This record gives sequence, structure tokens and C-alpha cells, in this order.
Amino acid sequence: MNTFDFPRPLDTPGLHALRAEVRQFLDEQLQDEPRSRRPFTYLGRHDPAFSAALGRRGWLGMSLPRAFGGRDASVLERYVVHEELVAARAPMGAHAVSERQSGPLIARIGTQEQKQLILPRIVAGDCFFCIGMSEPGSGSDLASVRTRARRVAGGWRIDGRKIWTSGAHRSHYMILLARSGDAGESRHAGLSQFLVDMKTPGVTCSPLSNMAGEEDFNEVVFDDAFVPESMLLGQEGEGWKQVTSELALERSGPERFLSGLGLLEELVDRLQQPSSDASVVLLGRMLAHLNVLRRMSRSVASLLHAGHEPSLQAAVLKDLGTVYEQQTADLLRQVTELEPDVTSDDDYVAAFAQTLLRSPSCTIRGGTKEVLRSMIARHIGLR
Amino acid sequence: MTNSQQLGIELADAAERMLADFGPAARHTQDPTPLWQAMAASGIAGALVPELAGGAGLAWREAEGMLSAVARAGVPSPLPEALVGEWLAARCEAPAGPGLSVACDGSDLVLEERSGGIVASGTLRRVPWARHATRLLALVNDGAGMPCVAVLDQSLHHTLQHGSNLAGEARDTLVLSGHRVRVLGRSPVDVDGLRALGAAVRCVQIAAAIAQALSLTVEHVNLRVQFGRRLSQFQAVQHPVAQMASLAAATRSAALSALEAIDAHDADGALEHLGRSFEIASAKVVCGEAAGQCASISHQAFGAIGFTMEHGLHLLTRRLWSWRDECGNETHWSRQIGETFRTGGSSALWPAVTLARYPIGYAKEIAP
Repeated sequence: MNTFDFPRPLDTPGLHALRAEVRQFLDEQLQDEPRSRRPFTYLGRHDPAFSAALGRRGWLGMSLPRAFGGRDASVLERYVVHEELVAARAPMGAHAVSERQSGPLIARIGTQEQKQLILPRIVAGDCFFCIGMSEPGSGSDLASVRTRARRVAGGWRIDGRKIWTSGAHRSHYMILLARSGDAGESRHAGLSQFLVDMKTPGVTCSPLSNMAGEEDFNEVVFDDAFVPESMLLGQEGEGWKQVTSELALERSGPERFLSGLGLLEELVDRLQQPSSDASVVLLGRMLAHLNVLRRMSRSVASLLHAGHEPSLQAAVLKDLGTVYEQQTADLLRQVTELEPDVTSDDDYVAAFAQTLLRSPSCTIRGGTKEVLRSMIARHIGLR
Repeated sequence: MTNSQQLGIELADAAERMLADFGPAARHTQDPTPLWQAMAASGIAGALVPELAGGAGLAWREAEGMLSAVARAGVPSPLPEALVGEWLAARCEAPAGPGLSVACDGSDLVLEERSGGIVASGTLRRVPWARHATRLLALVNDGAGMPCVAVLDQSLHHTLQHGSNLAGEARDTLVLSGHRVRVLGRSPVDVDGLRALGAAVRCVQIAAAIAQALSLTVEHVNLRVQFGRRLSQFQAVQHPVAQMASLAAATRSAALSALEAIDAHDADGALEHLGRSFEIASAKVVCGEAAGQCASISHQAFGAIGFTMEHGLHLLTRRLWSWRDECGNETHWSRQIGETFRTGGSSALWPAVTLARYPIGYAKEIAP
């Protein structure tokens, strides 16, 4: 078996109606910010007021259970809302991680107490998450994490450091992956996940500027920080399995191939003037790939909807999608002879510059393309 | 599973059995005749013809299995063209076969009435399998809406100039000067739509040939030992082969969406717009690019042995290199997408993308 099945995405008239509602909502919410002037950050800027407005509309954590404030909406409905936000470059940075993966993970494996404490706040747009995975010595090799969780009376003491943690400085909680026991032969044993309140004494967060000039990721230091027993997430020692189950959610969304959409929109406006055949052909080529990637991403959402765990399909999608989006600026420069300038008044020039500056992160964050290809290689039977 | 889905699977199995019966002999030949005679006798070419007209009544999506089976085998077979040809004939209420019917772009033909009949003049370029066809169905624009279908029978074969694609599949040119033809009714698709049908079918063939080349490549690198290790243990080998697996998945997904688009246009009574299908255009761009990338990855993994005539890899890669340029290459379809989507300006771009199978301006045209 060396193929991956991407079944036909499920589609209903209800999803089209929902899409239209979301568009109308975004037009109203973002009316003071013309599309061409919306910043090109990954998953959008941090704007708690926007997150709260989205929560009031019932579109945050909408697939979470009703008992905890959600709407039991389908994965597909949630996908439509999410995709529209990403495409519009809405300021969704505050809630993006909690909405995409932390909430669903807690709903699946959290205790009743954890669900009652956290899920209603995620739904209200009032509780933001970050994910503590990478460390200074553990990037792609996640199983080598050295942050320790020591069992003490009433809970755990955490020591170590996490790095490249997006949004940590603005988050209420981190889902921390730490070593709570011996690695064992597989290296995957002895890892556990914890829900860490970012205000815990002994947790220090320092933002790091990325090369595009944004303060998005952080270094987070744990110095004898106490986490109560009640905040162990899932089973002790099952952290690896739990983390990998999140990956289908983390890797398969439209944010993995839509980051160049804003630049393509600017290109379309530029093509209103007489333009070269090469630039029209390139626009078409980029849209062709976008269309095929969208179908694959919606197909993964349909698999999730049917209760599967399509982590391999998600890896395939993320590899293809991020390589595609990373190329966008590089390819467009060949058909429009311009010098990139983020300060330019010309929307196209500024979009080009911003997209280019952000491009290295596409194929790194959320699993490097090399890690994904090794996963895929194992699956297709390369031994 | 519906009856016709089940029938699609059975016909694919039947095609597999015929391919197995012919074995390697069918692969290392450029003559499609023996295999095709067996296939034609089984009635498989009428798979897309409505049941009332004597066919199997499959949807295009359900023909994926048989198209893929033939493409995986790396054999010369006009089955893809025959499926399109018989479908078109049935839509024009012409009787089925016998033999091989091939549809082609006749936009260069001029029809005239002469002594009680109709004659055609002009050139039909690179018509697939023309020398083997019993009838050609040429779409001719006569200035009255959808093109009419001119039927050319076998008696015109003396006008053939032989040509072939890289895999030796016949791609012949016919120069007609006042040759008698029979004219059927209006075609359900225009010339662009016929190209789109062909492109969708080529996408299925490309996806299947890539999947088969991947399978051979995985088998080879798991066996071949160099520097004391299997090739599959080198990351420098693993990663390109993994990329090929991702491209195999993307091309299959795209190919299926192209077939689904034909069915959707048909169901919506919108076949006349098929030539502007975003799904088919996208699929051909992505499959065309992947064809070259995957041919290159598999040849590199096989090394010198894959470059020999004796080895079977070239039966797949020559076809990949041919099919990507047939029925519109990546530039053709990219240009069409670009021209369509540029017209709406930036604010219309995303709404148009999410309309999926219908490009800008199209949904309104077909709205009831």
C-alpha cells in the first residue's frame, strides 16, 4: 500500500449558506481595514476583541460539545468558518491555536473538570493557547525533549525551556510536552502533556523577533514551576501518542497553503493593466495548484468528520501546500520586475515583500518538510 | 454502493483480466490491435453510453477504474478515446460502433454542400489512433451555436499522415479536400469542451501511470543494495520518492475532481460550458507538472537500468511525457484560468475560487 486516498470532500448547500454568512460578518467587522492593507502574518494578528466578536457569533470552537458551550457543529462547518477567516486575513491570531487544536484535544482526552474550566472560555474567545513542543535542543527531533516533569505532592514540578512557541506571550495556557518518565527503547515513552497556566510562578516568557519583524514566537523558561495534578492532560506517559493525534488538525488546514492568496489578489489587480502573457499564465498556474490543494484539504476535513485520524494525508497536504505557498513570491518576481519594499505605498510591492520575508517559516513551522517526507517514506514502505 | 458504481468496478476488473491475458506481449508493442479487438468485443467502449442506447450507463467518475487499469499497464490502448467517442456518438443519437470511434477537433474543417451531399475540407491534426479508427467524429463550427459533428469513415484513410507520441501511440494528421462526410446533430460540447473531456481523461491516465511508476520505484529501492545498504535506507533516495507519493496523491485527487466536474456539468445541463471548467483546467495543470517531476524521480531512482529499452519503466514515463502535452499542456490551461480570473479584480478572486467547478460569471449563466 503506497498510496494515499483523498476521498471526495463532502459538500452541502448549508455549507455554502454558512460561507456567505461568514463573509458578511467579516465585511462588517473589517470594514475599516481594506483587504489590501491587512497584514500578512501567519494566522493573523492578535485581536481579542475580534475573537470575542467571533465567539458571540457562535463561530469559535463550534464543533465542541454543547455541554461545554460549543454547538456540536460538524468539522466541515468549522472548516468553512476557519477557511474564510484565513482567506480574509482576519485578525484571528489570538484564538487560532486554541480553536484549531487545543480545544478539540481537551474535548477528546481532558477530564470533566478541565473541560468545564477551559472549553466555555475558548468558545467565548476569552482563552488563548500556545503549544510547548520545540526546545533549544529539540526541534524536528521532538522525542528528544528534555523539559522535565517531576512528581511532587499534589502535582508536578516543571524545569526546562521551550522555544519557537508562537503566541506564548499572549496566551492563557500552554499545552506542554515534557518528559515525566524514562524514554524506553522507542524514545516515545515517558512523555506527558500538561495544561500550564502561563501566570504560574516560575514560568517566564521572552518574545523573539522573527526576521519579518513580528514578535510572534517566544522562549519560555520553566524554573521549578508547579502544575497541579488536575492539569495533567490525558494519560501520564501517553504524551507522544496524544501529540501525534493533534497533528492532523495542525497540518491539514487552509493556513498551510493560503498564505500567498493576498499576493495573488494584488497580482490580479495589477493584471487589470495591460500585462505580459507570462504573468497571466503564472496567475492561472498558482490558482490551479490552489484549487487542487483546497480539494485535498477539504478531503482531510471530511475524513476527520467521519471519525478517521488522517495524520498521513495531513502530512502530504502540508508538504505540498507549504512548498507551494513558499514559492509564491519567488515565482511572481519573475513576471513583475519590482524591488521588494515592505514600506511601499504600492500594495503589490508591499505584499510581495511581506510574503517573501515570511516564506522561510512555511516549510518549518508545524513539522519541517523533511520530517513530513520521512513519515511519508515510512508509510509507503521504504525500509 | 449504487448499481452503476458496482458495474464500474466490474468493468475495471474485466479490463484488468484482459490485460493480464495479453501479458507482456501487449506492453512491448506499438500495435494496439489485438488487445483492442478483445476489449471492443467485450463492449467496454460503451461504458459511458446510456443504458437505453445499449451502453453500461456509467457516470464519468465511475469509469476511473477501467481508465486507470489500462494506463497502469503501460500498453497501447485507444480505450480512453473510444469512451469519449462512443459517449459523443450516443449524445448525438448516432448508433454505437462497431470498431473504434474517435472524437476530434474539426475547427479547421469547412463543410460544403455538393451534389446532394456534404463534403469537408481542411486538416485534422494529431488525431489519436486515427489509422486504427473505423470512424472519426469531428466537431465542426458552422456558425450556428454548438458545433455539429461530422462523421468521417474509414475510406478516408488514404489521406493519413502518420505521426506518433513518444510512446509510439498513433497521432495522425488527415488532410481533407472535398471528402464526403455524414453530419450528425449538434455536439453537447464545443471544441474547448471536447479538449476538456480529453484533458480529464489524460489526468486519470497520468495519475495512474504515476501510481504505477511509484509502485515499481518503491519495489526497486527496497531491493537494490549499494554501499552495503538498500537504496531505500538513504534519505537522499527516500525524500524524492516520498515527494512522488505526495504527487501521486495530488494527481489522483485532481483527476477525480475532473471526472466529477464532467458529471456535474452534465447533471446541471451545462455541458456547453465544460471547456471553462476550473476543476478540469486545474487538474491538467497539476497533473501535467507532476508527470514530468515523477518521471524524473523514478528514472533517477532506477539509475541506468531504467534507461534501457528492455526495462519497463519507459513504457510509463514516455506516456507521462506525452500525455502532459496532449489536450492542452500546463501553459494552455494556466492561461485559460488566468484570463478567466483576472477579469473580476482582486475582490472577486476568492469568491470565484470557492465557487469551485464554475469560474467567474458562470454560476449566474446557469442559475435557473
